[in-house]
Amino acid sequence: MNHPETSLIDYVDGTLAPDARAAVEAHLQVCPRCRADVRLASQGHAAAAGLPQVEPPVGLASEATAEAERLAAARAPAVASIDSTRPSRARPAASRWLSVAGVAAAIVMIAIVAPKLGQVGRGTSAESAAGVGADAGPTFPPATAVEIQDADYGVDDLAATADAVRAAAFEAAGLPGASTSTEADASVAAGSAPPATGAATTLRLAPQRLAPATKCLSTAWDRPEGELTRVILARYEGRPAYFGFYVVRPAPDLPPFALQIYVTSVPGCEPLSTSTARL
Amino acid sequence: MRRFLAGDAGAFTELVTRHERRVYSLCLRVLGDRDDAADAAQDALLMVVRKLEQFRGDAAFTTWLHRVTMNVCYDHLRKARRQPVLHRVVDEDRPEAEAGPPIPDHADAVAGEHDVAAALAQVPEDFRIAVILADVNDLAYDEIAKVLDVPVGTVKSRVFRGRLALARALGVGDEMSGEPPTRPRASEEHA
Repeated sequence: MNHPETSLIDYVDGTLAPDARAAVEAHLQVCPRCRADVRLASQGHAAAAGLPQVEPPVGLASEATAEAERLAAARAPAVASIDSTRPSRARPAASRWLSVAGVAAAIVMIAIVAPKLGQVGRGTSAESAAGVGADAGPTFPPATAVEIQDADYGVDDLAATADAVRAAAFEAAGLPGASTSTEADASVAAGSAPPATGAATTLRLAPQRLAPATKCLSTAWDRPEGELTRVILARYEGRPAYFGFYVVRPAPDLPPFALQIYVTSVPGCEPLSTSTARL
Repeated sequence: MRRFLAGDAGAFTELVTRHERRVYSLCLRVLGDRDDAADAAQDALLMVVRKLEQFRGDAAFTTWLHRVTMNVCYDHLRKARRQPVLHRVVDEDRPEAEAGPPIPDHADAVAGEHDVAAALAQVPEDFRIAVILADVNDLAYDEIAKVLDVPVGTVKSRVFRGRLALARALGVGDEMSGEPPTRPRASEEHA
């Protein structure tokens, strides 16, 4: 049997064209070895993607910065030498690196303090999801990256999240709209959902992962209606999952009337749950 | 970069602030030890300063930065191989993955960061580096090909086999009856 090994990674990434994807799926139906490889590779992919970037030790770049100052001084125009007769305005490298460390610490604090799925406060598509559109109501720009979070959510979080994103968009647009209007439809998820488990930690943004995530959500939910404004990779009731936030309009030129969250498993792209917030 | 090359040292500070976390994380994931990673990241940043003039913009700065960093990491890996003592591949400040039964399938994806890092350290070097660049540092396959100076097909093969090896190191079973599980081998790579 010929195994389409070179296509399997594209299949796992969700980047195959429809005809190529169909060919791989036909092969997977009859090939347990490739089926097992796809399953393992998907698990390995999810595990590696969950690894965070690590904060470097303070002063890591002090040697490089000192070298940069030396080289920059050598390259600086001659007029700069006039300044050298005045008291230097430049701080020593060490103190500058303390301030850099301060900035880094602030970033870490933001990541820790604003981690929840529905909160908006990081430079993410979520932030733009709460965009300003005071004239025509809240605006929801398209998603530009998958937001990877180390978090486990349940159906209650989903409902609260839909409301939080909706409320943030209204608040950013300076509009009233604080009333809760969420309908959680957990009919797809088996059994009753537990409360939220585990605090969220936003790890990073992955623009490269947006296309496969969109495809996965589309496959699971048969091309969901609306514009995708935010995508999160986290866990839903213990399973790795994409959370897709879609803005739904009655017609393309009319204001949105609902924010729909769809949850799909990763890998497998199976529908897990959905929730709606009316705008 | 243009500002730095015109004599503005502060511009390099901005560059470093933006990228040092990525450089350090890459070194840590590849080398598996905090001290080695700090040394390598310092060397890489120093190399970036000194070679910035040679960067001609024919590749994205991020790609070039990864290439410089990986070259430094390869030097450190070579030095480590020459040393008679065992090179630690697990971050020494962190507990190593406990020996015991494999993690059940449903738990692999929720395995802690430390378990995943320890499992990644068991993945063969070429495959591990490809997985780190693709899945941890989010480089596109064509960018990784430029970083590692290998064809894109080789990159995809390494990433795929690295993901398989990582899942197995995490204890995920093949769950395939009738055929023995496949194991990644460098000889199976597709150029």
